[in-house]
Amino acid sequence: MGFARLLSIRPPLTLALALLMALHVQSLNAAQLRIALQDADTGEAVVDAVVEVHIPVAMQNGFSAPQEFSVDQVDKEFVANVTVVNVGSRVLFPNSDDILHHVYSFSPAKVFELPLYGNGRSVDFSQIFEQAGVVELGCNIHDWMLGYVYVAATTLAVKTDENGQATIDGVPEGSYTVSVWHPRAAEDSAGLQHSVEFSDAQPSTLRSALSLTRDNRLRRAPNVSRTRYR
Amino acid sequence: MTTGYVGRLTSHEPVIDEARAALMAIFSFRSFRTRLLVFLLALMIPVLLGIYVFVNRENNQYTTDTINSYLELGADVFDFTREEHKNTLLTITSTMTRDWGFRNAFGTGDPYTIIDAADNILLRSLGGADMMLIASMDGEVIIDTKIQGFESLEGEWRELMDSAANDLNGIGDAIINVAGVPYQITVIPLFLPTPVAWIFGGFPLDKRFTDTVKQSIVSDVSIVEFVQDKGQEQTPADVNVIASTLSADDQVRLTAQLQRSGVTFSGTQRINLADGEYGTLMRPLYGEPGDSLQTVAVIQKSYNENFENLEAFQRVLLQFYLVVIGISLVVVVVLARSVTRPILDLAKRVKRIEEGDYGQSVEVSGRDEISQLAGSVNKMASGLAEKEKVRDLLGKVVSHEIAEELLSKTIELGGEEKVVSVLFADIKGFTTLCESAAPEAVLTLLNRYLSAITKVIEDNHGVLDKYTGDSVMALFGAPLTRENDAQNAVQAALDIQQCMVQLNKIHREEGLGLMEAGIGVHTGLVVAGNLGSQNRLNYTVIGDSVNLSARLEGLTRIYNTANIVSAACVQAAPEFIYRELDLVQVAGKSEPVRIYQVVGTRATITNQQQRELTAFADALASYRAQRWEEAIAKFEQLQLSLPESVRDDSLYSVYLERMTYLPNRNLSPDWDGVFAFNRK
Repeated sequence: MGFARLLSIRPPLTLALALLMALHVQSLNAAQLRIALQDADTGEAVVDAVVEVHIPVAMQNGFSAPQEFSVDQVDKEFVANVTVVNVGSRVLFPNSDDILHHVYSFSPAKVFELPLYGNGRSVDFSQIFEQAGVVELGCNIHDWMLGYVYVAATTLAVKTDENGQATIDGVPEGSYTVSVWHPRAAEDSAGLQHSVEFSDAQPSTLRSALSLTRDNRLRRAPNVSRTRYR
Repeated sequence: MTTGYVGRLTSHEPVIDEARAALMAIFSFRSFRTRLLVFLLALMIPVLLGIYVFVNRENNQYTTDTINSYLELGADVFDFTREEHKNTLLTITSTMTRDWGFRNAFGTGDPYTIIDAADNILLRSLGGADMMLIASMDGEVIIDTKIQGFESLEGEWRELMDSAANDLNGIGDAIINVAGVPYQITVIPLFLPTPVAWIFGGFPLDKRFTDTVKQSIVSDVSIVEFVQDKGQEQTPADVNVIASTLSADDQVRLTAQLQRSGVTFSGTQRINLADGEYGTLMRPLYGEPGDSLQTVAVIQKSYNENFENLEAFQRVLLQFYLVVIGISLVVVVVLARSVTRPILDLAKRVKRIEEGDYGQSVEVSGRDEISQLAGSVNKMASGLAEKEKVRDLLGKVVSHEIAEELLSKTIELGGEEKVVSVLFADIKGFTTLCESAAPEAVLTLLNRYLSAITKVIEDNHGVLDKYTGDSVMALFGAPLTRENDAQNAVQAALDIQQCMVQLNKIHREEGLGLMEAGIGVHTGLVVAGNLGSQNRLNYTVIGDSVNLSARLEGLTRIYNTANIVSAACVQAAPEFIYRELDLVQVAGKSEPVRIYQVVGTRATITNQQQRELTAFADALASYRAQRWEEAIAKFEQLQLSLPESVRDDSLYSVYLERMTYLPNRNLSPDWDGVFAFNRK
């Protein structure tokens, strides 16, 4: 055991295969990317990995409409832990806890801070993410609180579910670079960059194994839940 | 012990005996008190010494244990203090990483801002932290307040970083040499919110630190490093004192000692410093054995203060011993006196008893052994006094010798046969004397006479047997036999005659009648012993010889001589001059007895006496030859030589009277000349 403890949910492999088979049989006419990621070391599903299809800037018009997202703070955790947004989107950081939070980021993609605030509606806790990149969210009060906002260039980005699977629909036909990102993915890990052929005729498949580093996340303070004293 | 035993090694036995004797001589003291004193001291001193040695040893052990536990405790406190400091350091750095201002400063990525923020923290730590180093997660130095000059973590710094990376909480600590000073270093990650940097903090284990520790453990603390070049393990390591609470002098002493003894973490060493011995314990700080640099903490505690207590205790103990011995001596002296005084009194008393003083009994008080002894001595004295009284009385009633004989032996009836010279003496014509004098005067006269005669007899070793009126019976040869008993008896006879002359001289002066003694002496076999009944005894002699002696005494009246001695006595005591008186047959005896008169000794006899004796012998020969006329003439001639007053009552007149009728008897020609006395 160590600082590098793996957060993992072990999905039944058979179920994953069965699902893949079903998708394959159900043939669709739009270009689709079906993704399945697993841990290169343990074979377990890689959850909350972000897969993005990089299409040329000229083609991005139809895929860059700004949207609004929300990263909630529940029981002193960021929910969801990983949020995928496209450039220009607004992200709200509501506070569902009874106590105040101080959300900050020193990530180059977006440096910001939301000084101590509660769940009052009058507070503006939204940020617009203009630059693509990964933004690490922290709370200056609760050091273990760690969340990620993945700012993608287009809407062609998705995060894997608890089975390590995800699907991207509506990809134009052609050959594009597909990147994979995960908080614990080693920089030199294989399977982070792929060149994938997309066709309307049949869905493309990305099955990849990632090398994960240890989890450097701070552990929660044991006396963190003070609700019962209120 | 008059002779030494040097050179007398012929056998072991004498040597051992001599040695024993010498030992006895050493321990045989004149006085009881000295003996008691020596005994007490011999008993007490080893015990006291034993106690002293035991207590001393226990105390030493206690001191050593105390110092050891002090040091153990001190070392633990040292470690604890270091741990506390370490925790403080962690607290400081940890708090710093959560400081929004610092986070903001770090977020800027500007080293000058970061180093200012770090210095600000150090300043605010109030000495809790002395240095700070921030490195990126992969070990690139971002800032270093000590400016050690490396851009990337290396050596122990990197080891520490790696160990922290492997720790559950990302925390690590180590002692690292910073510019020659061992530093306690801690490290924690900086979360922003993921770990982005390592924050190293440190404080020096220096004089300030050792002083702090000394305040809590009251022992000296030194930080010492051992420097040894690789491959030079044979030579002693260089020892440097980095920080110490010791004086500079003591640091030099410590260095010299540690250079010899090296590094050891097991047990307490003893190291001599300026003011005595110090218990010394080491604790590891930095480096492993065999490393070129090894730093240790040296905890030291002086034995002195404990030994001072010990010495105080020893002084008190010695004083106590002196008091105990002093009291014991006084008690012994008093006790000895209480014993020896009565004993000395008793000894004096016994000495007096030995000298014959039975009076003045010793006071008896108490019921102890000495009192019992005193009581016994008193009883013994009174017993002896009584016995002496009896002996005195006995000596008066009987002769001294007989008294002794009676006292010395078991008194029993019966006797023994022995040759004894028996002397009878009485006063001729005592009855006539009594008629003419008052009874008191007679008694005075008699007592004077008897006393005188008794003295003469005893002076001549005779034993007075009894008084019968004016008659005295004395024994020579009973109960004790002497070589010259007969001689003594004859001499006594002569002395009695001499004594009578003296007495008569006194009597003449007092106008009293003159006395003449008749003495008979015979030497012969008698039976001597206790005579009488079981309850009343009399030591005496019996037998024919006694009777004969009495007869001879009686014959002095007939022969008109002062004494008559038997032939047996003459034979036994030939030293004297005798003249033969006659050959007689006494009553109750068949054998005739030749009787003599003792005239004197060869020294005292005069020529005239000698001529008279010769003439008498000549006359006696004529008489025995029955030449009567010739004999009568010779006796008349002899009678004429006597003074006129005694002519008619002389020996010669006896013969002349006898010869008035003998010629008329028809005596046979071979007549033996024996004259028979038929009456007793």
